[in-house]
Amino acid sequence: MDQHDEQEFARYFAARRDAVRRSAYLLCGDWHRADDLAQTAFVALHRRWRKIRDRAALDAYVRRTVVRAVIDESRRPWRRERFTGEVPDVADTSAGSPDLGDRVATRTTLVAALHKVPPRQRAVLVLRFLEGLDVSGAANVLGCSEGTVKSQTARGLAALRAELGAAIDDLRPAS
Amino acid sequence: MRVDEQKLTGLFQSAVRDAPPASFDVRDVAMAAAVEKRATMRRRTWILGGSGFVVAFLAVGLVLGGGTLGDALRGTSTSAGSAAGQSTVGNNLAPRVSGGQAQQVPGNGTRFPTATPLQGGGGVGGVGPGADGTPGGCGPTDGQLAVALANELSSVGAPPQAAPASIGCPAGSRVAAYLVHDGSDAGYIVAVVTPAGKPTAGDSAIGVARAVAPASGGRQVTVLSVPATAGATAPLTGGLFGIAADLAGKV
Repeated sequence: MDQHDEQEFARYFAARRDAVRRSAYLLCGDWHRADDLAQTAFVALHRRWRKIRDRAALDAYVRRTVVRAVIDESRRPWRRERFTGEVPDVADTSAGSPDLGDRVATRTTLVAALHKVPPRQRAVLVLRFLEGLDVSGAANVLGCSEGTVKSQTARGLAALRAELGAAIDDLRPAS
Repeated sequence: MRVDEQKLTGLFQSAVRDAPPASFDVRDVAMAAAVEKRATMRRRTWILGGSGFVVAFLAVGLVLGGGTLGDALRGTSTSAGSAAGQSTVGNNLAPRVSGGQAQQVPGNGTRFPTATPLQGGGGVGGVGPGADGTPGGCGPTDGQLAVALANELSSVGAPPQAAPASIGCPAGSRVAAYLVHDGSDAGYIVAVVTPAGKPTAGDSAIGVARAVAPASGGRQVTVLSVPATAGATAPLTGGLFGIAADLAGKV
């Protein structure tokens, strides 16, 4: 890439890195692994930068790379995801910060439950409810039909509800 | 109790709010991409070098049947001269050996492709006289030279020049050749070690890139780059002198 392309890529990277990391985290349940997934996706994008110039196409390409990596990994027994349920170092569950403690508990519960949802359904939920994609956008990323996205969404929500189970009350906002 | 979708969005966003600092930045990405690109180019060179071994020696039969290497590839005649006319080969075209270790690729852990030279080997190359020879009728592949050349090709980068032409080898020459790709340029890198007192290989060749380096005992090492397609750019021409110099110290 020439300098102009490098600068454009750097701008895109700065704008999207954290969002991609966050999605990767919900998909895999671990921040270290999320960074690996995100970095791999950006490296792949960097190598194809000149061929993909439309901004919407860039986002879809990165999302697709991350999602496929997670789904592919789930199919390999020797690379099967192992969710540790650990919280990041930045978390502080001290009694002096109840809101932060609540957030940590919520995050841990949600991420643990999400991790038990089948990978493809999990991907649909992350694309739709974290990334905010509509059915069409999610279908484009996953390379499937809109009908499939709808059915995967319904099944994913059902699976998540089943996992959250009794923890539902804990997650409802105290309003 | 159902978790409605709006609440789920809020939960998801809350779950990722306290993200730790990223462990990579744009420089890490650019560096990793560059490393991957180099590794891919290196893999392509080696893969094509192995398969090109087969292609190069299949082409020999066409060349030795009359016409230039470019003719063999194009299927037409050119004015670049015929291999037969320019060759000073006095060797017969039979393999040096009928089989055995001289034709085996040394298994010394180098990155030499595992494809065995064709001469007297797997029966490939039945396209005419000298199908087991090399461009210009230079005789069978020299295994040691082939290993040395293979090691050189992985360390050479960069581009252009030269039109297709035939080459000729003096009698008693040792020769090895590979098909390589350098970006969009494809061609054959041919290394020839000529005995003392003999003219260097490819003296009358037109349109090839050539580098010559002296070796011990009055011998000469010639490295040529011959485009795979007439009129195309010969690959790796910027590195031929370096290759010739390195080989001169090893043969």
